[in-house]
Amino acid sequence: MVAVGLAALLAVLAYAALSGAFQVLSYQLLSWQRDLHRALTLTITELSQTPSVATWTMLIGVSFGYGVFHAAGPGHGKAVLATYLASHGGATRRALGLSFAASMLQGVTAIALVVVLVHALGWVTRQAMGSVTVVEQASFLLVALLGIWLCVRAFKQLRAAYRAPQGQAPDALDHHHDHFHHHHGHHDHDTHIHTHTHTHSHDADCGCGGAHHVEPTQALDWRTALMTVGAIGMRPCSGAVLMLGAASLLGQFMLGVAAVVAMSLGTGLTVSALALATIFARDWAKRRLVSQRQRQRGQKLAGWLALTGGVVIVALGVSLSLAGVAQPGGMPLLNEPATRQEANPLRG
Amino acid sequence: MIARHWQARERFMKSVTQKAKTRWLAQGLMLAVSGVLISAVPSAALAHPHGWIDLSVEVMTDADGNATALHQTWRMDPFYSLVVLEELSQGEEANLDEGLDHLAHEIRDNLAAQHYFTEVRLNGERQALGEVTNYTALARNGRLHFMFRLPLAKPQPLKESELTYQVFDPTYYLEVVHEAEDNTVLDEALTLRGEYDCTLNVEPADPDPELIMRATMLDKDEQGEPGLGRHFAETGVVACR
Repeated sequence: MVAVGLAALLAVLAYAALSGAFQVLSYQLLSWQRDLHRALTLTITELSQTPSVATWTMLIGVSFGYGVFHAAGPGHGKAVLATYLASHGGATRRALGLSFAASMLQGVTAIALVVVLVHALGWVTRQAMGSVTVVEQASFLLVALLGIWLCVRAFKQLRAAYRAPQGQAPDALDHHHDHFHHHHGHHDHDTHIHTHTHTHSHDADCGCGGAHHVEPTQALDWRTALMTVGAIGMRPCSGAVLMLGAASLLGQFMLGVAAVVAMSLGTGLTVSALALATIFARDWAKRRLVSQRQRQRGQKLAGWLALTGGVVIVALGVSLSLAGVAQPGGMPLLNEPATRQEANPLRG
Repeated sequence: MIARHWQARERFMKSVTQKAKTRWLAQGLMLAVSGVLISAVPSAALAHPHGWIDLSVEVMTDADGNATALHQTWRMDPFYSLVVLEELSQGEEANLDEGLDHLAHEIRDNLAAQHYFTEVRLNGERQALGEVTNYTALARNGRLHFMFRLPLAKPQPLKESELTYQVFDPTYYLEVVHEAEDNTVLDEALTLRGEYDCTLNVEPADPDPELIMRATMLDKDEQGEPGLGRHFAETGVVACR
């Protein structure tokens, strides 16, 4: 109970500190983003007229910076990632991998959209931007699916925790109940016992810490990781699509691609910083809050919290999906772009 | 020897069970943090401008010294212009001019639903605005220009008065800024038609971080003045004696 109070207090303190810092920070971020966006637009325009090494360097630098600050604000992708890392743990390496994979996927999606829709199918850029909303909806759906997936796993964890009789290690019993995961789970357990027993730096989800139902098998975890990357990274920024489209129109598609890749790397940097912060905070909490004695109870609460995490992500996905467009699909001030057929019946 | 073994064993057992105990606490903490990320600032990240409009305004007057309208020229940013003009060149319209006419009509209709992004005040009092009937779009130096005449619902005397206006996209997806070079607003960005004893000035935005936070948290159907864009809007001031 003391620990619960402590955790609640920490959460409140974190909230107060963050909201204060956010106020100053978010304003600063906004103004940097604004300046960088303008610089990016002007640099590409300039580069298409008078290309030079200096301007190229500038473009890559500005794109990278834009990516860094663009991702620095809070967003649903980062919320999903933080929740995933919190409820699933994860080593530093995996957190970095997820962050960069999701960020790069975001850039690749934007590039793929423009290559397929504009270059291959001959759509105008505005229609390609309109398609962002469709992809966005799909990614929200994926967020909800990820949440459901996490809930299912939390249910299994809870069932195992409640079936284990008081005083007996829940691990031993779970393997009997959880037939589907039995083999892999056991294997996983063994591996970790052998490799990590005496290292104290290993992550909480590694399977030997008593909460290993969060991660019954490595294969299942891969699926979750893929879903997480997909849910976050599948959603391209309509701004990136606009930039690629404009670069194509200037006859400088590769310029746009270079800028988007630099941007994605910048985004990856920020997102991985957040992911690392999540892990450090988790490890810090782990070191600090070690006095709780009741393992059984901890196991159950862990299950409930994992379930909460899943529900939060489902709610996030559903509400984003219901809210519809989070970013304008077309051009502001103009009507929604007509579909290809309606716009140009003769061009196919 | 045996004692040492037991100590080591106990330490190991402890480290194993401690992880279980603390895990849910860590989870709780991180859920709280992600909860903050989700709920506190829902759309701030999306809200920064993805395009801009270079604005110039001419305050129109009648023979009696009343302000009658704001004649605005919007110069759309290079990417926006590029993409929109591309579509016109591929469109069904017989020629570019026809396409531009169609475009101007579309922009006007969409802007009418958003009060033309404009707020006008006389001595601090919000003025009602009329409808735009006079508008045109043209392409110049690769930039799309949209010009329109936004009338005041009632002409207002300028003498010994201060007329102020702000032009902004509430969502802040587009940033509206007066025509400037090297962060200095150009003289032609704000002009007054006719000979009057007035000083013209464009005041930069002075956003209050706290108000910005509140604006990002305000729902559409909530009371108050939503919209992040307002806090970044420049203010045109026409002060007359």
